[in-house]
Amino acid sequence: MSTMRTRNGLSLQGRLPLLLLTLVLVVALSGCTSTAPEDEYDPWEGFNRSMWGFNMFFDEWVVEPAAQGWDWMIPEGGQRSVEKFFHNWAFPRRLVGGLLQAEFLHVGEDLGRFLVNTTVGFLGFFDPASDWGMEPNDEDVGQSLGAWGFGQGAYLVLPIFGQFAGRDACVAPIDMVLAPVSFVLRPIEVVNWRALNLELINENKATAFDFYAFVRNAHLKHRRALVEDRDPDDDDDEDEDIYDI
Amino acid sequence: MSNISTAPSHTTRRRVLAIAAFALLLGLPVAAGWVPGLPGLLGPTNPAAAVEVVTEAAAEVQSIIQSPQPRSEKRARMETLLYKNVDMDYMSQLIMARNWKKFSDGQQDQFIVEFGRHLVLTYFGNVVNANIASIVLEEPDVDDKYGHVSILTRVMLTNDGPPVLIKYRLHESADGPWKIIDLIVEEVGMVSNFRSQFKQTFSNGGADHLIRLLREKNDVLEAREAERT
Repeated sequence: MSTMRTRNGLSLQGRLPLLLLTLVLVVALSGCTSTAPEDEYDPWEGFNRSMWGFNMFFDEWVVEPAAQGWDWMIPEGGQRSVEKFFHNWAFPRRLVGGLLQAEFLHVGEDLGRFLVNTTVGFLGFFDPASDWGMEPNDEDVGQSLGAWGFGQGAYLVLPIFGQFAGRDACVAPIDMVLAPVSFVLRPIEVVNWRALNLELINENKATAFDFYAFVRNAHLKHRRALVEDRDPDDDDDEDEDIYDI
Repeated sequence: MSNISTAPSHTTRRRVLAIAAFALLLGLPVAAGWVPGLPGLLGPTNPAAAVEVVTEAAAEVQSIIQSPQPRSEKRARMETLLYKNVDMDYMSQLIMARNWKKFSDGQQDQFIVEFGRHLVLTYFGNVVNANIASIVLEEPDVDDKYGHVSILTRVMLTNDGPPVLIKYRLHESADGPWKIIDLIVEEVGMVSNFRSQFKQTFSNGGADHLIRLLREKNDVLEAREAERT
């Protein structure tokens, strides 16, 4: 059988895996940051809805029962403390995100909060820093890409991991590693969060006309608001085009 | 106990004074209130009327939640409150956006009815068990482009959770009073969210398909609500 060879001597068959890998990377990276032609860019909706179905199944049979057990064992005050603990130890993610965006005021505040809450707040289970006027911030590497002008990219739903704006999905491994306690104890963090939101999530699961679209819209709007560091007091903080009829 | 307060507003006071001075100079009867049909030219001059609507609505929501009444009676009160204060017609138009023109008059009427039912059922289910300690109203913002007023409220909870930020957007309705046309909960707007939910169903099957599925969903939710009461 004849084998076509390229100038550097590699056969096309030999280069096929490399070509395929390049193609996959190009498609994936274009999904990371492409400028969306519409507000909620969801070119992989069929795949995403399948993954969403799996995640809903997983939630119904694994996460929700675990959250109900957790809710039975730990009172709401304890759950709030666990939430604060995980938030405190995600400090490296906020630090790197803040530095990448040159948000030095936020970095300073977060550093102060981390020191106060880790010591006076017993490893972060309590939040005396907020009482002392140091407000919590929320920065990460995905937001930094947004602040640098990258678009949200294609919406992506992954089994177990949940939903992402494409831009966030591409740096999700970095953001995960930058919150090592959450990374290692992720099941506890998720179950605790689900327990705190048992009624809210169950109600919206049951009542939403299209729960997939409900969550997609809420997630992408929330991420956009975080990137823009919106002050809720601002007059023009909403997507005002929607009122143009 | 109901606890609703309004933050002071220097900006709004300056804006109102400026508009009032301008109106006096021109001899326009603006001081009496908003001049219908002129959004963007004069702007709403009386956001206080919108603040009053939100203040009363927020107090009524708190009263419903804290009432010892049976769930069915709470639901009836919430329905009355929403139909009085939400502009269902206009909100339906906003949600369907340019697709609204593809609805016949009859389809528009049916959609407004089903959307109203859906809003009552979903809103009531979400707030009836909320642990609200107090609601603080911030100063109103006037959007001169559309003639809308936005009012941010901070809902303080009794369970040590962070306050929930809810922004009401109102306009002066065709029949007179200020009515709510959007509710933005933590930066996620109801109009935008419902638009996203209804879009694919409309694209797949058109207005009748959407109205039928919405009616079926509402019937299921009504049955679920009946089981709970």
